[in-house]
This record gives sequence, C-alpha cells and structure tokens, in this order.
Amino acid sequence: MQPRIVTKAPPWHGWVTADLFLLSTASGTFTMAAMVVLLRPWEMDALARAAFLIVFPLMLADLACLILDLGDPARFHHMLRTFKPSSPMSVGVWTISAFSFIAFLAFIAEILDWPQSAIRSIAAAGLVPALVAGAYKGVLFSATAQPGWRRMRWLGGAFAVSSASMGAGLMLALAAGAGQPGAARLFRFIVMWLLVLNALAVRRVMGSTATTGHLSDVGDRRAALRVSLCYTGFIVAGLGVPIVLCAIGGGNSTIDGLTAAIVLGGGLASRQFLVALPHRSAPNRT
Amino acid sequence: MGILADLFYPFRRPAQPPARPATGFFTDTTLCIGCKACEVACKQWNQLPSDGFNFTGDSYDNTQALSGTTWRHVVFVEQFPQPQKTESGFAPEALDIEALLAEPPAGRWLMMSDVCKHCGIAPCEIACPTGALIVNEFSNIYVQNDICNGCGYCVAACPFGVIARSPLDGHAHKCTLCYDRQRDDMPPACAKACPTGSIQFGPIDELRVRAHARLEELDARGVSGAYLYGDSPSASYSALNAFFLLIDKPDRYGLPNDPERPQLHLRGDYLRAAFGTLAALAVIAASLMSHVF
Ligand code: SF4
Ligand code: SF4
Repeated sequence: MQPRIVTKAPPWHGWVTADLFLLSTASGTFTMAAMVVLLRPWEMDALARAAFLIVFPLMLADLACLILDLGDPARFHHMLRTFKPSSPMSVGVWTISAFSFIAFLAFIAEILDWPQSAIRSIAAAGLVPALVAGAYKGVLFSATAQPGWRRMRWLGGAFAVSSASMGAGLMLALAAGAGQPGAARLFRFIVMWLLVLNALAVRRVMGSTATTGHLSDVGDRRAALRVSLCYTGFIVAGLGVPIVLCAIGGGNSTIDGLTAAIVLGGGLASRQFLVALPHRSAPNRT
Repeated sequence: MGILADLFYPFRRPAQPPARPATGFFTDTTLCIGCKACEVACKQWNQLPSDGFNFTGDSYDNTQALSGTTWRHVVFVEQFPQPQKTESGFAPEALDIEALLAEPPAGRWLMMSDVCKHCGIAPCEIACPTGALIVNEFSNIYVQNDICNGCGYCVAACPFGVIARSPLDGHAHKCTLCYDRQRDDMPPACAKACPTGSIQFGPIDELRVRAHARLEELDARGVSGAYLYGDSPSASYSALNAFFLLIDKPDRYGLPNDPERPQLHLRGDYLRAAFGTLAALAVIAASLMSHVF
C-alpha cells in the first residue's frame, strides 16, 4: 500500500500560473533584448528597443497577479521587511523588485529616447536580475514538500532555459512582424537550440520525478500515467513541433508567428500543469 | 496617517523577549480515547469557528484534517475488516464482542490528537518570506498574524500538512502552542483539557525523559511495537518539539513515514538553476556573436 499523501496543496491557482507565464516572458524578452543591445546593436537595435517597450507592461501585469494571488493583497509590502536567502520566495521578491525597476528604466529610456550609452548601461544592469527572475521560480517549487515538485531537482534549470526560449519566441514574432528576415533567421536559430536545451532540461526534471517522485508520491497508477502523458505531450507538441518548424520554416513569417505562438502557449500550458500538480495528488484541505 | 502607519508598521522591530526553556508536547497515543476534549478546548480558547456538522459517512472522524481554523485534530484510525460486497451493496463485517475482546482482537481503533509538530528546524519558518513565522522564546513556531500576508509558501513547505491559509482572513494559521497562556505560566488549553494525560506539555527535555520511561513501561506490560516518532532527528529531518508515541506505522496515523526537510537540496537546486541559466546564456551569446547570421 502506498503511503497516504499528508501534505496540503498550497492555495495557488490561476493567478500563479499567470505570474509564472508573465515573469518568464518578461525576463526572457529582457534577456534577449539586453544581449542584442550589448552584443549586436548595429543591426537589431530597433527590435531590442521594441522589446524594452513590451517588458515593463508585462511586469506590471505580473506584479498585479502576484498581489492578487495573496490571501491579503493589502499586505504585499510585508514581503520587503526581510531578506532570506533560505527562502526562494524572498530571493524572488527582491529580484523582481530590482528587475521591475530596471524594466521601468528601460521603458522610460525608450519613450524619452535616451542615448545609446544609457540604454547599454540599463541592459547590462538588468541582465543579472532578469536571469535570476527567469530561473528562481523552479527552485521555489522544488524546495517544497509537495508531491512531484519536491523531486524536481532540475526545475530551476528548466525554468531558466524555458524563460529564455519564451523571450526568444517573442523576439522571433517581433522580427517576423517587423519584416526583418535576417533577424528572424537569427532568432529562429536561437529558439531552436534553446528548445533543444529545454527538452534536455525537461527530461531531467521528468527523469528525477518519474522514478522517485510522482509514482511514489501519487501512488495512483492512473494519475502517474496522466502525468507521464502530459510530459510527453509537452515535449512533442511544445518543444518538438516548434523545433521542426524552426528547422523547416525558413523565411515564412506566418510559420515564424506560429512557432512563437506554440513556444509561448507551451510555456503557459506547462506552467498551468505544474501549478495544478499538487492539487491532483493531494486533497486540498486549506 | 492611518495608511502611513499601516505601511511602516511591519518594518518596526520591537526588542525580542529573553529566551525561556524550550517547551513542547508529548502525545502518548496509547492513552487517547478519542473524546475530542482537546479539539473543543483549542477552538474555545483560540476563538476558532466551528467546522460545521460534517459527516464523513465512513468514519467517526468527522473533523478529517487540521486546517486554518482547526489546530487540533483527533485522528481516528479504524482498523477493522473491510466491509463485504453483497448484491445490495456493502455490508459491514459482523463482529461480535468476543471477537473484539479476543487476543489478538479482530479490530482496533488507533487515536491520535494531531497538531503542529513545532519542528526543531521548521521548513515553514525557513520558507516564510515576510518573517511572519518565527521561533519564539519557548522555541515554538509561531505565526505573527499581523505580519502574514497569506502568500501560502509555508503551506507548500510543511511536510506534515499542518499550516493552512484561512478563508476567513486570508492569513496562515496553526497551533500557537497557546503562546498567550504560556506567557502567563499556564499550560496550553488542549493539554489542560485532556482527561487521560495523552497530551502532555512541559519543558521538552523533561518530556523526552518521560516518553522513554513510558516506552519502557509499555514494553514491560507486553505492548509490542511502541516507539517514539519525532523524538530525535533523522538523516533528513530535525527532531520535533511536539512528538508522539505510536504503535503502528506513521502513515496509518496520517504522518509521513520518512519526512524530508524541503530545503535539504536548496544549495544544489540554486546551482542547477545557475547551470541552466549559463547554458541558455551561452546559446544566446554564441548565436549573436556568430558570423553566420
Ligand atoms: S509541522 Fe509544519 S507548520 Fe508545524 S512547525 Fe513543522 S513545518 Fe511548520
Ligand atoms: S502565508 Fe504568511 S506565514 Fe505563510 S509563508 Fe506566507 S507570509 Fe509567511
């Protein structure tokens, strides 16, 4: 007989899924734009600048989700009364605060047309907070007692790569939309290799989870089978299909748009699946 | 003014009270008779709302679980033969009094008054990003209700499924080990109300000595299989300041057999996240710097 699950699923639902999606997209997009500004400003500057205009509104929406998700939203600022490296949520709150501020600066810099040197400085300063913001949620989930999550030792790595690929997907959509075939080709290449990396990361998450995680945690073969099928679906539909599209869809802006939509949609679906995992496994007795 | 006061109030740091001897609970489940006096006393003292007249239909345990408004739960473990399937549905096994009094008996009830374990190293306290959860002067894990903002991370971190967010105020709640009563040198309400001495309160060192003496006593009386749960640390979890004497496997009582501190792999998880980040960054940088594009 499998041991009964005794943990309580945390009271996290749709707002948290939306937060994961928006934060990953914003941090990934900022990372891509910052890297472009720092490494290849001469030909894709306009795209990077458009990306900076998108990131701050995404972060505003994300902050709204983070606040609405709390049991007592009026106490959001209580998060800032302490800094605890032992708590990934505390690390995340400070990182998001720093990242939001830099995203705001980048937004203002674009609106007010600040000089290129200022934009390069903002891009450089924002790179580390953006990268941490893209990755820390995975650690936040894996450092819990929840069935499934607690065995996902590579979830932080998977989030890092997934956030980057979602940002690259958005950049691909922008390049295709702006009619910049050279830039679209480059972002197609980046998306493709980030997705390959993503598949490896998801495989590691799933591997460490399937052997000792869900099966022992859930103790219900049908639930375990559903989990395995979902993972397979994510790998095939969310990663495999866009990889193939990147490889074959050269120069077609509709295919590029479709690729970006699948990458972003897959990111959203996999995050929703992750948030729902403890609710499927454990009775939600809050 | 009101808004400003609300804004800055949580950042004030009053002086901490001096440390007092660590206290806790020793719950001897062999003494529990399932009267639920502890549940009632806890509700009454802490002014917690009733859970309603719920009827599980398959157990005398209608409380079912600890929650944001139920901080003591008398677990009923009913170990009787499974009902038999008949043409008209399920029929309970017919048990006469002889069968129940025989040795070994045909069935038994295990009862355990469950509560927050006040873990020696508490995952909920480590996880809490606001600092609402603290280790108080009695080494008990305490939620500061004026600080908690209901993020729910403690709920995800607790391996025992204890702490929960209350739908009434949106904040996390659990047993306070009657902090207010302890400060006035009174025992917690549940321990005071327990008529059999199943819930024992006191300095934790004293309780551990008492628990070992009780084990020896049970052994001498021929009770086999009794052991202490949470009395000492394991490889993956700290000792509990609310520990139990059990006579069956932990999961029979709704306790994890082998609890694991969720932050055990935190350093490695951060490192693996950094590795993923660097790998993604390398792909992006190499592509942007490539002359192919
Ligand atoms: S049992 Fe759960 S709520 Fe109680 S101290 Fe331990 S981790 Fe915290
Ligand atoms: S819900 Fe409250 S007590 Fe729990 S982690 Fe969040 S702030 Fe801390």
